[in-house]
Amino acid sequence: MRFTVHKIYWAWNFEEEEKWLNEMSAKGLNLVGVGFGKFVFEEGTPGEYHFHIEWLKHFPSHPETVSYIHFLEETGVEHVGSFKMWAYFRKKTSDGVFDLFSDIDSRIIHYKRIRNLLLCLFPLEILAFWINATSSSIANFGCSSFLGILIILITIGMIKIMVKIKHLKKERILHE
Amino acid sequence: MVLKIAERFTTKNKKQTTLVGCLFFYLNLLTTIFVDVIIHISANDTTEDDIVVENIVLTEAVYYILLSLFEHMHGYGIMQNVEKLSSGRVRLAAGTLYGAINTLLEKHWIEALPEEKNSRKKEYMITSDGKEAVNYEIKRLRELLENGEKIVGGV
Repeated sequence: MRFTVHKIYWAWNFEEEEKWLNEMSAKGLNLVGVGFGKFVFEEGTPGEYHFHIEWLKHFPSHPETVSYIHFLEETGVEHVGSFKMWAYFRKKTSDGVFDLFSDIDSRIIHYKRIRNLLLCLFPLEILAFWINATSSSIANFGCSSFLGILIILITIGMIKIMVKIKHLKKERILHE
Repeated sequence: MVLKIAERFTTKNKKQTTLVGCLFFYLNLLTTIFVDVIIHISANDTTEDDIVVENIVLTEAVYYILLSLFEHMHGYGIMQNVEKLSSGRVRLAAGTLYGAINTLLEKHWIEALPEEKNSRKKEYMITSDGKEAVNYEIKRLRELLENGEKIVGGV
């Protein structure tokens, strides 16, 4: 039986999303489709799959991504679906441990991709916030307060990601 | 009269800024939701500075990938071979391996073999540059090992 769950995760909390998906899979609910804040689950054997999420380097339709997903499939990983730049993968737990990254450098590169997106969004939001905040109508006030919240969230997200990158870089001084 | 015009001008201006602000808000929302353009700008991974070849230290993963590719092999084969070579100690994750293969291809340390018609799997092989890097690494590892044994004593 299939059913849909609506839930929103911020880009910088993707690890929590992964954790949640794996908890669902432990209960026997496997992710089969994704959309904007939408997760489609299907009932199955508990703990059959392990899930991972990745922020891709190129669009899902880009040939580079197609060849990447094909490469992963050769190693026994299944591509559940993608939404925007997020790709959802699963692998049977019986086929061994599933990880997308096994060294510090590739983890840093992955975090940097997410950080770069936030860095690009940031000035846009600030500009829109400033334009709305300097004019005085109710509509503008609404816009600017909404944007204000968004800016605070993005800032928190960026700091979170940067702290993670910093930690990994520190680790890298000692070992690979 | 002048005051009146000035007043009219400012109210008109206010309306304009309101409009511009709202427009910007919607534009911004649109870009936030359809982040494709921004994604495209941000998609380029920052690559580290070029490292001088003579002073290179290979990562464990790259060292074992290069060793594996003395025979031609496809991606999954490399993963299995590395695990076998290190008796299960080094486990390469698929994403990391994919990144490493692409970097090695860019550096011309390995090359992709022309694909056979009936097989969809791409195979790779080490190049002479790659062999040179491996030889240098072996020399470096030997030095590390000898110094370690000299000071700590052979195990």
